[in-house]
Amino acid sequence: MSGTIEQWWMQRLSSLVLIPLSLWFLWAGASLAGADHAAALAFMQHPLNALAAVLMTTIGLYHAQAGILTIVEDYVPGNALPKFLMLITRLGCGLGMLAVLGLAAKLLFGA
Amino acid sequence: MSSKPHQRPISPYMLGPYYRFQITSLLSITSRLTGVYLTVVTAPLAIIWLLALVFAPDVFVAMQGFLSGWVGKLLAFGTVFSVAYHLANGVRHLAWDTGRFFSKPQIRQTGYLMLVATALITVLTYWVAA
Repeated sequence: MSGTIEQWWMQRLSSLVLIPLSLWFLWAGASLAGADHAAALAFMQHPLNALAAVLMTTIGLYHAQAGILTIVEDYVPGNALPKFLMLITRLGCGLGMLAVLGLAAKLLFGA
Repeated sequence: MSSKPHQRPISPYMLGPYYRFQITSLLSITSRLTGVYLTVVTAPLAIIWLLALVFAPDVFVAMQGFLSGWVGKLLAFGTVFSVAYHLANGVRHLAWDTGRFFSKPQIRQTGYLMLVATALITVLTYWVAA
C-alpha cells in the first residue's frame, strides 16, 4: 500500500503539533466561557489567537479524520458500511476545512 | 488507495469475551472514545461557535447562552475531559512510538500517571475559567 509510512508520520506529526494547540484550546475556552460578543471577537482577532484557532481547527480536523478512518477500519465489518462511514467522515472533515478557510480569511486578513 | 479497508494489520477486539478485562484495554478504548467525542461533538461545536462569532453575532449570543445552561455545561465538561485525556494518553503513545516505556509495569505506571495528568489538566482548565 502506497503512503503507509507517510500516513503514519503525518499522524504522529499532527499529534505533536496538537500538544501546544490543544493546551491553547483549553486556555481559550476557559477564558471565553460566558464572554460577550465584543470581548470574544477581540480575543480571536488577536493575531496569535487567530493563528492558533486556524491551526487548531485545520490540523485538528486532519487528525480527527485520520483517527476516525482508523477506527472504522478496525471495528466496522463488511464492505459497504465502512466505505459509507469513510465517505461521511471525509465529507464532514472537508466541510469543516471549508468553514475554517472562510474563518481564516476573515480573522487573519479581515476579508 | 487508502479508502480500501484492511490493508494494514488491524487492532484486535480487546473488550468482550475474547480477552480478560484489563485496566490497560479500558484506558486504550477510552482514548478512542474521547477522540470520537472530540470529532463528533467538540469539532462541530467549536467551528460553529467560531463561524457565529465572525459572521452571525446574534447566533453567537444564543450559543453562549446555550453553553451556560446545564446541557451546554455537560458538553463543555465532556470536551475539557476529552481534550485532557486524549492529550495525556497521546503523549504516552508518542513516547511508545520512540520505543520507550514498553515494559509491562511501565505500561501500567504510565497509565496511572496519564490519569493523574488528565485530572490535573481538567482541574486547571476550570480553575482558569473561574
